[in-house]
Amino acid sequence: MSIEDDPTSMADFGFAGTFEYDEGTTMIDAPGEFPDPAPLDLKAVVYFPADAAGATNPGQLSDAEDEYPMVVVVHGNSLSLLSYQGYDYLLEHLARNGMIAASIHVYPGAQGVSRARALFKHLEILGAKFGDRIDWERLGIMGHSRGGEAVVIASKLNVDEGLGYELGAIVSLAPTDQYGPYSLAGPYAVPYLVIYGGLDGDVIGASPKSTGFSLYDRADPVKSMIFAERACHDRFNTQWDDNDFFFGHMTAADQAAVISADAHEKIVKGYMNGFFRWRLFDDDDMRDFFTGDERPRQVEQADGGTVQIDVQYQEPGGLTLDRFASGTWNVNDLGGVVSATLPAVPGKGDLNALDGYSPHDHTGGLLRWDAARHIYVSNLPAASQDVSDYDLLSFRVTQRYGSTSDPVGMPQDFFVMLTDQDGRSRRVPVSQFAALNYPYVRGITNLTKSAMKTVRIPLSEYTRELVGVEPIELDELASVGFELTVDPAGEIEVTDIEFVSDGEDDDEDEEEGD
Amino acid sequence: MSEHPPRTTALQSYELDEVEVPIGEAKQTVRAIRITIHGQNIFLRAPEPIVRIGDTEILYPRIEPDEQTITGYITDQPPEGAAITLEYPGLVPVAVPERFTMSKLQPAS
Repeated sequence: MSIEDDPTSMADFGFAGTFEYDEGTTMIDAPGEFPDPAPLDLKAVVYFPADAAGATNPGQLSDAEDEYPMVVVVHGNSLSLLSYQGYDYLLEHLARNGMIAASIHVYPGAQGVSRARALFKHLEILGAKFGDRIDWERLGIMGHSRGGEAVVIASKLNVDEGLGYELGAIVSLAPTDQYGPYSLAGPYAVPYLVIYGGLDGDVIGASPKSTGFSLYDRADPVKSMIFAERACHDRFNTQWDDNDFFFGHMTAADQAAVISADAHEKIVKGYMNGFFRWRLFDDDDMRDFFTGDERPRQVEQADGGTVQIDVQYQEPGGLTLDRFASGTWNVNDLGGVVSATLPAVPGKGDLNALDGYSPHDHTGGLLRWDAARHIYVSNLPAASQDVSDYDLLSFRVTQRYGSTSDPVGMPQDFFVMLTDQDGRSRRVPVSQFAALNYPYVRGITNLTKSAMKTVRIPLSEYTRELVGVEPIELDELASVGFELTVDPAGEIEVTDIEFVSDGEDDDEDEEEGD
Repeated sequence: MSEHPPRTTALQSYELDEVEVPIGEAKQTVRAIRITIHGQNIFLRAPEPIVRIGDTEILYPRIEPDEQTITGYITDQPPEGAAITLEYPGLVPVAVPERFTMSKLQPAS
């Protein structure tokens, strides 16, 4: 991927026009609040693609296209009445990438539903301003903090109330998860991106399942989560300064470790522009940023190359071997037999119940090993042994924070072994594809998170020709094993072991192969 | 970078007054007690604040823009002497020095 493809810096339009509007006050339903309904000032800032500098009204929308996709942003809770102006850097970037982009005002104290209601009010206003120049089949919404949960609620309201909007992408930035639980699942599923910082001083995750991790876990469309280990909460909004430093959840060392405001903005610009381009423009080149295969170049270079990002990614359509969702530990979700030679019976079930440091709202397995006992094997039942149509083995994994088996600050590694029906086996180290680092430790250690990341191992690693080693037959695969022998001891949490496609067109693969 | 010391939330006093307000699912007007708590650094944050009088959680807690006042409503009378506390997830609850007493109730005007 070339430098021109960095979604942090790329631009299709030389100019972005901008204006603000104030359409007076309206009343919106505000369940859980007093008063209900609540008064809402209909203010917003808008950026749009333009053909010349200084454009300030919707009539100056660029003539390059007949219609443009639109992205609307909902901010989070703050004393500031200017919160909606804190994402201008993002809006301008989206506009220069071909999107009408607006950020709306919501009154201080507004809860999740009222923020979602506000969003729909502004869709009507923006529709009136831009008329038929908005491509309503390419609509994205982004929310920060309480707004990050509100955009999830918006999907539910849109479906339940038949509002008829075609949401093509939803992004939650450092979201709360406190009003539901709401889920982008089933009829509410919309391609989903979560961005969250490991040094968030406001949405801290003190309660189980109260952050973007749990929103991500419960969503079931194609989804990605970007966990920036040293990002905070308020530096994503230029109107908020460093207010989350004051709330008592960050030590002096934490505050000093937070990445720069510039790095926060690059994370937002790179990943959000990439996601909206991927989902609203069908720009599949952007996909690699969300699988974790690529990193936006300017994000990678920010703060002298010290920004650490962990990626989770999942899309529907795979063959799930085990989510550790049901039954006893020795049967996987496909019904295959699981065997283990470990010093403790593998844990199985709700991750937060297995590990109080887990921020996830998902089931998983807990595996601890030592030098003598270190094998875990999950068998595929007869009906599911042909995985030759898939391209990758994918799973989510983390070291367990606080485990006496995981040396503090040290990475872990292990082999992933596939065995076919004829007994041929091949093993691949996880470290070849992802770093299984020690969880990022906050100064207030009970806020540290056993945060999962996704590991994706190409199945070609098991089938390519190697001298003296026979390839695995993927149409008669017997088992997936974890050979925990690289490090003498360790403890990991794992889930979503599945075979997946790489999303690339098979014809393209063949052409590239030619 | 200089350290930002935590701005500690402190509660100082409270007032009670009797009001008739349309609250609840049906938005029927009911007689309720409004509590207004004064203090410092009552932040408008992402998590919802939780205010309790004894075991009773007040309804519709709302932080004023000065971040020195929080109001809410109760429809059941808490016991005399109950502690009045404000809590954010992950922080130790902060209490008003005075205990709850109905003797502070101002009748509806």
